[in-house]
Amino acid sequence: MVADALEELKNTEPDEVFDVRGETCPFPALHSQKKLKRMPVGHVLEILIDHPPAAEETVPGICAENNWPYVLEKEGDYWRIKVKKTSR
Amino acid sequence: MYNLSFLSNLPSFIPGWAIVAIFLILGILFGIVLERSRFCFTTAFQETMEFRNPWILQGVFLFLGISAVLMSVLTQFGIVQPAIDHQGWFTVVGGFLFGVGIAMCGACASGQLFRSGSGYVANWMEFIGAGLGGIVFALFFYQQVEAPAVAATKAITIWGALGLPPLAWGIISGGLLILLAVYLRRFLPQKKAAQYKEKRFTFSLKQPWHPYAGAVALAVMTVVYVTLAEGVSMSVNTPNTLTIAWLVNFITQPFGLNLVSSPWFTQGVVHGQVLSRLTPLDLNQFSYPHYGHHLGYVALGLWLFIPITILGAFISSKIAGEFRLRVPGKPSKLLWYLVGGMIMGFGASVALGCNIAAWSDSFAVRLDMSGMLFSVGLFPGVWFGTRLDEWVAERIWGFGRPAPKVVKKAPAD
Repeated sequence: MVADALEELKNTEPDEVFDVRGETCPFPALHSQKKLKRMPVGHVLEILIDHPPAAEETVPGICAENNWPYVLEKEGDYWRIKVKKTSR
Repeated sequence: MYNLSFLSNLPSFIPGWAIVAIFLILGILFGIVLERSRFCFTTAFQETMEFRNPWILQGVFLFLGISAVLMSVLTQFGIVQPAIDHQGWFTVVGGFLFGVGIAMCGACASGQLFRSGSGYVANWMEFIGAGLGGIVFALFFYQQVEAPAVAATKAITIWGALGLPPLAWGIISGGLLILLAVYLRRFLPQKKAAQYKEKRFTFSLKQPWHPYAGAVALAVMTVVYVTLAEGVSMSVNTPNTLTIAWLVNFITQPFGLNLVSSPWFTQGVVHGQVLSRLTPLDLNQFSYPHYGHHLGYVALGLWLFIPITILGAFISSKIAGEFRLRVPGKPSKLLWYLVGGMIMGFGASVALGCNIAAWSDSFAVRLDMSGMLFSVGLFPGVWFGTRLDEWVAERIWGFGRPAPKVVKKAPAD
């Protein structure tokens, strides 16, 4: 069930792409959190991050805290995190 | 007595450079441990305060706890006598400035070292800034304000104030810190996601480490360092200042400002000769038995330990394939890091230590009051610095406006 939803999210075209590559702590997470808060419910955001701790721990933490499904994929030297904002 | 004698009193047929080499190897290992476990105290504080995510903080507490127990055993049996720093208002004020600086840069005094090594150019600016901040302190603050303020205070250990043996306090405080570290693990928000994979407890050079692994390695390294350094806590800010001062001196000397003989850098006059922190090998002339003829090499080793850490982090990030030169998109960010570094370096100098010497080693090594006083300034400082970050990011670096970085379609690269 959860796996299906994540698989679907993986194949969803994002509404917006947010590029925080080149930023270091705390900016990738701070900016992503703000961006997600200001985004309308139902939108899918793809965040590009090349700062390891933000990509692997903090941003997934923000998504999980809000129960927003996310998919994390490593692509070369950066990560793509696709988040669906399912609730306020 | 072992204290203040072992390394600096090694027989003279052992070359002094061997002592320096020991610290260089330790420094490289320190860089590897920091880089692999991404052990950044600023990340620990900021993520806990901003995102309620104690991912690194759990490691920090475990490191403090293990080290406190081990060090209290060594202290109790007189094997090491940790040198206790003075503490007073300057610890709080310095802690606040330090907190603002590290929040602006997103990396503490030790964090900047491994970030620099893994290719973050902004943190090179922080390192330079921290050194400059230390020099500003040395030239304009040390003699005028700091020295009299420090002289008016005392060095206090918590166990001494409570009338307990060091071992008892080490086990009580260390035990509590270890329990806290384990308890914090329950609050990791990312664990709520089904697909989240927690990092493994590993010491592999190819993988990122769990913060607990970093904590164990750092605790062991701290105990080894303090034992070899004859009770001196691990200092980052002083060697950082010395490194930059050594370079700056090439520029200022022709203009008549020689940092070697300026206040703070000089440690005293012996037989008519000025002993300077910038020329540590002069200390070898101390030949009376208590100090030892290799003292200068110990001092040089403690200095080079810090810059060599950057090399350790470089090696480790290369092995893991994570090294990449990262230049911030906006040049003004480099200036921001330089200024943040200066505030950090100045603050650490005022507080008589950085996040290691004034904060963590207070709980982990000396069991004194400075860490608690430093915290009183540090956390408001980090909070304030993060707000500054946000404000500048919104208004100057263009976040919130339709930034050019926000694109509809993902770039192909």
